[in-house]
Amino acid sequence: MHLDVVAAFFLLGALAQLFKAPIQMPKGLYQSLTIFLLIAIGLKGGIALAEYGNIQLLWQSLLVILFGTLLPFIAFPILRIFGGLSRTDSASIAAHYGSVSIATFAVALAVLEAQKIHYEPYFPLFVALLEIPAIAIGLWLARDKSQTLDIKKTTHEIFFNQGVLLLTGSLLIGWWSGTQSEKLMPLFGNLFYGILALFLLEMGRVSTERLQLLKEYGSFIACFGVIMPLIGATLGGLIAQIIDLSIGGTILLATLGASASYIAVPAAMSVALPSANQGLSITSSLTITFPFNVLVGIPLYSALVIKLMS
Amino acid sequence: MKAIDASLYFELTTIILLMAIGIGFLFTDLPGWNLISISAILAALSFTLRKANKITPELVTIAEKD
Repeated sequence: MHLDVVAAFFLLGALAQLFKAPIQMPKGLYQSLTIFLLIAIGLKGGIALAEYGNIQLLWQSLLVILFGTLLPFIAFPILRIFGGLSRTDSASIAAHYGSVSIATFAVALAVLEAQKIHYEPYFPLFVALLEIPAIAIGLWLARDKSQTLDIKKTTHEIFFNQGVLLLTGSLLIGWWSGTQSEKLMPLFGNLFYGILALFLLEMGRVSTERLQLLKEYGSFIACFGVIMPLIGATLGGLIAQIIDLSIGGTILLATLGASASYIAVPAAMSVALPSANQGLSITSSLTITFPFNVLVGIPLYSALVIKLMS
Repeated sequence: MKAIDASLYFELTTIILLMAIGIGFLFTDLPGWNLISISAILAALSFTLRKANKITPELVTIAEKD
C-alpha cells in the first residue's frame, strides 16, 4: 500500500487513540489548524486564479456546481430506501456528501505534489463552489410543510460559515493581491505540509474515538460511507473529462466528489435542520468516509486515473 | 420491503461489489487489496452487529419517526 507521509500521521493518530495514548490536542489548536488550512488553500488558489484565470473557467465552474447539486440526489434515495432513515436524516447526510472536505482535498494536493503530478492551480475555486449547493439541495430534500425554516439564520450559516467564508475570502485576497501574496508564503506555503500532518494526527484520533458509535448506528451507515465516495469519485472523474481537466485535476475532482463535509455542512444543518441526527452524519463522513479516502481512496483514484489517462 | 431487508441487501451488494472491484483491480495491477480488505471489514462488521441484534430496533425506530 502506497501511503503518503502526511496520511501516515492520520494512521498514527488513529493508533494512538486505539491504544489510548494521551495525545489529545487542545481544541483551540485544532480550530487554528483548520483555519490555517482553509486560508493556505484559498490563498494559493487565488494567486493561481490571478495568473491563469480565463473564460473557460466559467463553464468549468458551472459544471462543477452542477456536480455538487447532483450528488445529494444520488445519496438521498440510497439513505431513504435502503437505510430506512427519516427524510430529515437522509437529506442531512446527503448534503454532507454533496459538499466537500477541505482536509481530504489537502491530502490529495499533498499526494499530487509528492508525485509531481500537474494539476490546475486554481482548483481551490472549485472547492469553494462545491461547498454551498449541496446545503441548499439538502434543505430542499428535507422540506416539510409542518416545519418552519429560519431563512435568515440558515442563509447566514450557508454563506458565512467558517469553511466558506475563509476559503472564499482568502481566495479573493489571493486573486486581488496576486504576487503581493507571496510575502505570506513563508507561513502559508512552506509550513503547509507540516501543519497538515499535525491536523491529520488529531483527525486520526477524533475519527477513531467515534468508531464505537457504529454499534449504535449500524453497519448500513458504514457501507454507505464507503460506497458513496466511490460513486462520487466515478462521477467526479467523468465530469473532469467533460471539462477537460489534466490528470492531476481529474484526481482532485474525483477526490472532491468522494469526500464528505464535516465542518461547513454540520454547522449549517444544526441550524437549518435541528431535528436531524447530527451524530449519524458526522459518524458517516468523519469516521468512515474521511479515513477511507485518506488511506484507501486517494491512492486508488490516483492509480486508476494515471492508468486510464496516460 | 422492510427497512431491515433493504439495508441487508444494500450491505451485501456493497460488500460483493467492493470485493469484485478489488479483484478486478488486482488483475490490472491496481491497488485492489485495499478494497478487498475493506469489503472483509464491512462483512465482519455487518455480521457482528446483526448477530448482536442491535441494528433492527435502531433502524425500525428511525423509519417509524418519519
